[in-house]
Amino acid sequence: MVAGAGRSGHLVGERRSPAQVLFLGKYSPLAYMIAAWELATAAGLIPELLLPRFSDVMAAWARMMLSGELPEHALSSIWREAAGFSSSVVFGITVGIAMARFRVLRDLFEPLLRLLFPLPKSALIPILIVWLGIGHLSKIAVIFLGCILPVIVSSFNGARGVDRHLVWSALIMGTGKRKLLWRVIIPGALPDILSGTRLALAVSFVLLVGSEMLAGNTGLGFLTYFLSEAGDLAGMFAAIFTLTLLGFLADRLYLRFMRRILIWQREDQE
Amino acid sequence: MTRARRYGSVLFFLLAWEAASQLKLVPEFFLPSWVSIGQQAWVDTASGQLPMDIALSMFRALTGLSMAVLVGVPLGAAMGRVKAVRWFLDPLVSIWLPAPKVTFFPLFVIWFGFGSASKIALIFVACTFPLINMTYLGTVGIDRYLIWSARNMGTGERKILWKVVLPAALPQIFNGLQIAFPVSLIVTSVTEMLGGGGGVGASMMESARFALMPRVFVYLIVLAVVGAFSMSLMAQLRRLLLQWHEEAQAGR
Repeated sequence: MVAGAGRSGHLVGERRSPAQVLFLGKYSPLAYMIAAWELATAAGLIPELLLPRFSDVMAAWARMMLSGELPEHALSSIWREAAGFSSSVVFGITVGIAMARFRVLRDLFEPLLRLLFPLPKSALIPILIVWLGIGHLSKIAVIFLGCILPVIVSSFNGARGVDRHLVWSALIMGTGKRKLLWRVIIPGALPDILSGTRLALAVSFVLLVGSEMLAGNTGLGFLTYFLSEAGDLAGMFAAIFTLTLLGFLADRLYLRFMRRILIWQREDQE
Repeated sequence: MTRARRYGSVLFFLLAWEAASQLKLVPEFFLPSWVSIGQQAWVDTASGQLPMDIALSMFRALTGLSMAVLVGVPLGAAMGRVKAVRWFLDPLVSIWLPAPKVTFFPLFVIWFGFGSASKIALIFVACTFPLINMTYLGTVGIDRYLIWSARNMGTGERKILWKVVLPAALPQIFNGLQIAFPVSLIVTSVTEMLGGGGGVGASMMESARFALMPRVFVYLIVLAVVGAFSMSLMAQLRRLLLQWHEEAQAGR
C-alpha cells in the first residue's frame, strides 16, 4: 500500500472467493504486468535486444545468485549503505538536538546548513571520488554527507518543536538534564526525526547507485553498469531487480520500525 | 540577530578555507583557493560554457519535471477517485516509489540513446512517483462533506473535480512538487555525470577526471545556487497559489 494511505480496507469487499483473491488480490496487478511483459517478449512484439524475457531475467538471477556474483556485489552495496546511512543518522540526530539545545551551536551551524541544504547532494560524488578514491570510503562518505543534512534539519526542527510546557513540567518535578533529554526531548522530536530519516533513506540509495556506477568495481550499481556495457541485458535486469528489491525492503523495514516506535503517538492522536 | 552575527560562521568558514589553501596547509589540489575558483568561474562564464551547461541542465530537469506533473497528477487524482485505478496502481507505486530510479539509466541509454532523451526519460520516471503518491494522498483525504454539498447543490462531476477535488488536493500536490524538484536536479546531475553529453553534471565529472579542482568547485557552487533558487521559487509559488488556504492564514 502507498505509504500513509492508512487502513483503507479491501477494495473487493468482505467475502472473497479464491478466484477473486487470485485475480483481484492486492498484488495481482504486478502479476498482470509481468505476464504482459513475458507474453509481449515471447511473441516478439518487443525485440529482445531492448527488453529481455522475464523468464530469462529470472534464470539469470538464479544463476548469478548461485554463482555468488550477485550476493558478493549486494553485500558490498549493503555494507556501504548501512555504514553511511547509520553513521549519518547517529551523527545527524546528535548535532540536530545539540543545535536545538545550545544557542552557540545553533548560531554556528544554522547559516552553514541553510547554505548547503538546497545543494543537490549528488554534486558531492565527483569531489569525494577525487578526495577519497574509488573504494568503499568515497561511497560511504557520499551517503553520509548526503543524508546528514535532512537528518540534522529534521531533528533540529523536532527538538525545537517540543511543547515547552512538557519541558517546564518535567523540570519543575525535578527531572535531571540527562533524563529530560532521553524522556522528554528525544521522544517529542521523534516524529520529525523519523520522517526526516525516511527522506534520507531514499536519497541514500540514489547516491549509492550513482557513486557505484561512476567509480569502482564492486556493488550492484557497478554490476548493472558493467553488464549493460557487456550487453548482458538479462543479467542487468537481474541486478536492477535486486536493487529495487533492496530499496523496497529497506523502506518497508523502516516503515515497520517507525510504526512500532511511534505507537504511543498514533494512539495519542486517534 | 544581526546579519553580521548570522553569517559570521559562514564568513569564518570561508576565511579558514582560503587561509588553509593559501598557506598550503592543504594541497591546492584538494581544496583550491577561492581566488582560483573565482578566476575559473570568470573564464568559464566568459567562454560561454558555464551558461550553456546551466541552460542545458535546466532544460532537461524542467522538461522531465513538467512531463511528470502532466502524467503524475492526473494519475494520482484518478487513483484517489476511481477504485479500479487505485487497485491497479497501488502495488506498482508502492514498489517503484522507494526504488532508486538511477539504476535504470543503463537501460534507458539502450532504449533512448546517449543524448538528452534518456536523461529526460529518467527524470520523468523519478519525479512521477512522488507526484502520483502525494496527489493520491491529497485527493483521497478530502472532506466528504465538501463533495456531498457540491453534489447536493447540483454541481456536475466534472466541475466537482476542477472546483472541489483539485483545489482541496493542491497543498499535497505542492508537497509532491517540492519533493520532485530536488529529485529532478539530483537525477539530472547524476545522469549527466554518467552519460556525458554536456550539462552541469557532465562538465563537473569531466573536470574531476582531469583533476581540475577549481572548476569542480565552480560547478558545485552553481548547483547549490540553482538548488537554493529553485527551492525558494517553489516556496513563493506555493504562497501565491495557496493564499486562500488555511495554511497561509495560519501563518499570519
